[in-house]
Amino acid sequence: MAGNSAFVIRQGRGWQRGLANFLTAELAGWFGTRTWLTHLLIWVGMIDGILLVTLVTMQRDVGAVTDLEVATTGAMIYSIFSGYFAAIGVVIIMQDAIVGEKLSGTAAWVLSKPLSRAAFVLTKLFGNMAGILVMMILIPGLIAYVIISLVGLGEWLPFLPFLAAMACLGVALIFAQTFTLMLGTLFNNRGAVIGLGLAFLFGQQFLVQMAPVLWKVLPVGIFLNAEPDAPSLTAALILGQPLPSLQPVWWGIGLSVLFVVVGLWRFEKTEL
Amino acid sequence: MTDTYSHVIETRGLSKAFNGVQALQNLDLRVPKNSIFGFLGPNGAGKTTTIKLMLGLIQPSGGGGRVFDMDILKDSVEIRSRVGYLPQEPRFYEHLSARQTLTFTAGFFFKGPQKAIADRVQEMLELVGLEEKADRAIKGFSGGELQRLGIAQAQVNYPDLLILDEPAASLDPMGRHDILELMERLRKYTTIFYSTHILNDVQKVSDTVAILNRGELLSLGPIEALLAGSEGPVFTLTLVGVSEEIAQQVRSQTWVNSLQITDAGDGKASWMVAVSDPQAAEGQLLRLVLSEPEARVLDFRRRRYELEDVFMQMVEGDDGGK
Repeated sequence: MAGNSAFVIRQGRGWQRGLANFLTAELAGWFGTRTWLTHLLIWVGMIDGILLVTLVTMQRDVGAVTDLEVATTGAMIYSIFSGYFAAIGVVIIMQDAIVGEKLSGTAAWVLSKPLSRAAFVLTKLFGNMAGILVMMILIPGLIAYVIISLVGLGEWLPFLPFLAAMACLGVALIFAQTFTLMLGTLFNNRGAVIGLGLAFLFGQQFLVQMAPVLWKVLPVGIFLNAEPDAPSLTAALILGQPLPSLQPVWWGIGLSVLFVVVGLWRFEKTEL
Repeated sequence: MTDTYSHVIETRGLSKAFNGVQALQNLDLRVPKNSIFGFLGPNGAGKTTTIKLMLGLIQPSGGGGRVFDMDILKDSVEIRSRVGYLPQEPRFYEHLSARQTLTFTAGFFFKGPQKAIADRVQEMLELVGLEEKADRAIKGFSGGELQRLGIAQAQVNYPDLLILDEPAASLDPMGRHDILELMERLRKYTTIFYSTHILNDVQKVSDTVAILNRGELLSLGPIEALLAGSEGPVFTLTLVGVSEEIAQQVRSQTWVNSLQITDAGDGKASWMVAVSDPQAAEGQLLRLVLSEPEARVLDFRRRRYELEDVFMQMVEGDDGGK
């Protein structure tokens, strides 16, 4: 290259080529624009707003419920909203991440630069994962911790178990994220990606009814319990109660890795 | 590192089929270093397919190719680190400004220093006349402005090979003129491979040309050879009062391949002399004719085809045979 002696040239071969630059841009898309504020308002409003209103309403019925019952309800509401409704948001966010770029032509443009296909997929994975975990798990979770502790129980809940519950809910969202990412590499149609993504999320309850063994496999087992009156895994963690099976977490992690591997494999062969 | 290859792009039997439809068939292409290579063909000829194959955006169904003597399949990322590419319809991230787009592009090639990158970005913005819109989101850019931004981003890394897919599309005549001037200026630094429909532009700047139709290469070579026609250099004369004896003398010259005489009316004869040595023809042909005292030469010129004629002949001839 003529004329580039004033620059420090990026070197390196293999899958990580272009990752740093593309990931920086992807993260800037989340945190360098108003996107973060929009998401923060949506998720804090949805998760913590509803949680707060519910717990304050319950506490007004003085004598009818105990603080522990209020905290238990809070833990369940937080688990379902963070693990289930936020997962719907994840599918909506991710449906365009790969397909949108394929259809608009930006994927072809950016891959005409020294960017490996693996780096493209991993950027979409990790860039969005950072945004999802911060805006949908970390910040709403910390606020929920304060609400459930102070409005619900009237004292501070143990923090580390609550943090572990947040991590488990993060697994549920990453499952939804990687599943949608994989669909994005398999299809060239937004409708197919969002349709299959949401159908799977909504269909989990039916699947576990048909085959109860799936409670231990699907992420629904993280934020709901097979026994309707028993606390879910995350609620049990928050409340310090005996834990149901941890298998949905391990399955969630394993399947997420599988989805990423399939996505990487498929995108290598994608024609742009 | 000194490059030892003489051809920046070499393909051998490069083929591509989409769902059973052959888009490119056995393409053997050789693009000399530091050439301005015009890649011509009607819509659907396979030009963009060829470019995408060279950039690794799609994979060949058969054959292969090398760019900078590196394999287009195995070394795609390395190849792209030395290429600048303008897509036929440039698409960028619409929330970014032109400056951010160029800085992002430069980031794939350069780690720093940030000041040098910022200077290079500014230089590119000025080069394509986008400095006043540099900090606006490109969402509202016109087709011409996107094209200019596309040209800027293709050059930001000082590429050894600039691939331009229809670079003058969406540009007004001034913009087209600027592009051609820019290509001339870059010739000493880089090889330019560009596809276009605008044959006048190709004739102005290209030194090597390939013509593609229906996925098949119809012609490849220096533009001078192409414009000279398939029968080699030809001189045409319009004459009055030239005898058959002089015609025989002309035919007997070692540098004359053929002489065709047609009646042009009003006692005039039209000669078409195909030669092997144009310099000998320029020096001797007129003298031979005028050795006849009665002879008068009304017109004498070397036949030169316009690229459009050559292109139309080839493409129509090819289509006619299908």
